[in-house]
Amino acid sequence: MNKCVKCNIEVRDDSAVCPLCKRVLSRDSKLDGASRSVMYPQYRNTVKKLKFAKRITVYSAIVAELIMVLVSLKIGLEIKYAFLTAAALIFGCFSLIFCTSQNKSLQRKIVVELVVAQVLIIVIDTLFDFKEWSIHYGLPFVVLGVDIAMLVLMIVNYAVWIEYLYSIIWILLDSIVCLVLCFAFGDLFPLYPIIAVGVTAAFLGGLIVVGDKQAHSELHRRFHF
Amino acid sequence: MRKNHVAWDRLDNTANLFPVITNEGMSNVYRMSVTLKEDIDRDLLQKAVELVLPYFDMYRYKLKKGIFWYYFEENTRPFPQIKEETTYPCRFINQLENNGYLCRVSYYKKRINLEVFHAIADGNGSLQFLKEITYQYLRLKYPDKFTGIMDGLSHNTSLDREDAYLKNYKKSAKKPYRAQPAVLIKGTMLPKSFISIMHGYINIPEVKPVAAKYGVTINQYLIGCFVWAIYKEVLKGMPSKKAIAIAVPVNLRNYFDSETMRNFFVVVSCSFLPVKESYTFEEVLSECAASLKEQVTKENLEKRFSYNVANEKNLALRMVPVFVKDIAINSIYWTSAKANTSTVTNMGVFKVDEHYEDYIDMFHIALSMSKGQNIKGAICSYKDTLVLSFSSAIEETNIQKVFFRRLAEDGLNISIETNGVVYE
Repeated sequence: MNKCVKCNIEVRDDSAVCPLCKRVLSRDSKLDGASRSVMYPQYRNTVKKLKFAKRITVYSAIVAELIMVLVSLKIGLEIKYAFLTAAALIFGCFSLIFCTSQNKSLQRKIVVELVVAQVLIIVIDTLFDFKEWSIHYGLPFVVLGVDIAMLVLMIVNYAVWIEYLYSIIWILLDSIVCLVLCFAFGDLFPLYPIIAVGVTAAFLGGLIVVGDKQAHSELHRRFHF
Repeated sequence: MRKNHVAWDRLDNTANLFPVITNEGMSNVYRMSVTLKEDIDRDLLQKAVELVLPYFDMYRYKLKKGIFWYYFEENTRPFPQIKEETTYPCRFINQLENNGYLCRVSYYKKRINLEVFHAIADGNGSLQFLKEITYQYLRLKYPDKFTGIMDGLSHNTSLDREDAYLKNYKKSAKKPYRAQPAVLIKGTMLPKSFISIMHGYINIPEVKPVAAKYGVTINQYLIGCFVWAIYKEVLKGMPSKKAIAIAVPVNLRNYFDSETMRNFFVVVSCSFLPVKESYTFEEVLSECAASLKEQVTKENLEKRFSYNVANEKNLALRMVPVFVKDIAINSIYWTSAKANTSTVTNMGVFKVDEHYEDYIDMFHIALSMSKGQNIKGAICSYKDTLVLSFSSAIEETNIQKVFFRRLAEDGLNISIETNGVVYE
């Protein structure tokens, strides 16, 4: 082993300098070579291509938005169009970053995207004088779309279909919030939000009936306190 | 066909913290490794893990999120393919990339690495799993030499997975300790998820009389040296309003009747507050030893975990949705994270079944980094060698330098080994 005469320690790995004080090690000719170990590998510096792509996308979105603001000012377009593109770009960037995240499940991505897409729809409606099309049509149709997506995923991943039960509960809660929003804006019989709640509730109920013990067990685990 | 009843389990009291605070930068993964006397055969290691795994329920779990709590659920997917080590130790375990498993097995040359997410078990539990993998590997490698030994677990292994905190807690009204901000070790940070490892090898027959000379145990001596290194390098030997506080996990199995494989430890704090102009090494060591001795009593340890368990059992708190709990736990953790300068864990002496002793050369432990603690230490011993492994998230090695020089000054023969990050 090589020795650092300053620190008075021996160095087992294959290094010419002391890892503590960076002084050149004195070589022990008797033990040179034979006793030195290489205990760890040369680590691979993985190139974070995905992170780089994300940074480029966010930067491009900011530049695009700045150009949009400048164009709006130049041609006398209402500033709300700049807000519209900003909302769309934020949604796009968020979706890219969130959906390419490697430690979030597909179900979680879908449920979060559902909520973010609904927020975007409300923002667009608000920018154009809030004619309430978002809460009467936009939000319920997004919920119905996600219901269909969940059904397709359950069929594709039938071995773990029961795990989708938890996501359907969140989608049902979301559809109920949409319905409450409609009531809050004075509509006493919002057809499509009621359909969205009804379809999601029927979907959930059907899963519980079909799943029987499996579904009860899943609910028991998810709701244990 | 999928079973109607999927096995599941609640997280223990300590484990509840880890899913909340874990991210890619703070993995809460520790590594235990065993070095054999010859190169590892990957296929045999894979086979050994697959044979041992069915006995160890905890290591087959995946982590899931409920409405009120996180919980473990049986994982029916196969164990991931074991690969040769190519990345830094103690990296974040991404369940989605690891077939849902919360542990990882890898190898490099003669070494088998077991990396475990702390929510499933502490070091004592994982040591049994690692030993059983190693025994099984050796039986597969040398079927002729272990003819008299049947496949299966050794008689020293416990498969008990009781929640020992719940079993042993006593109602406690108030928090037994108050977190104060401690001295923090700062430096040039390594890139995220990089970790610098430095192992120091000490001969146990040499260190015993040195510790005895100071009237302390080996553990107290090593922690005292570490505190001394921080005092000299971070505080430059000056007085400070903040204490140097070293978090020391204590294995509760030695104090309570339990052999659980799950987490069963509490953390005490070895504190040294430099109020006067200068201290000698002996004074620092004596204060550290007294601080540890005062805290490591059964009554105090019981109080420490009972307060946390009482909170967990509180009906009002139990009914709070998990996302609110996450926010509360996170904020409490980030505030209290600065109450410790570092962590030093001592796993004690590792003993292996006599049949396999000749094939095993060494054990190592490495801890991952956590908020505010840029250097951590882990100690374990096998036969006559004690290995103290520093994990570091900073480039500088000044503290390790003062630490090892201090040991050398006391006449100990020290040899060190690194994972190469200090040279980059």
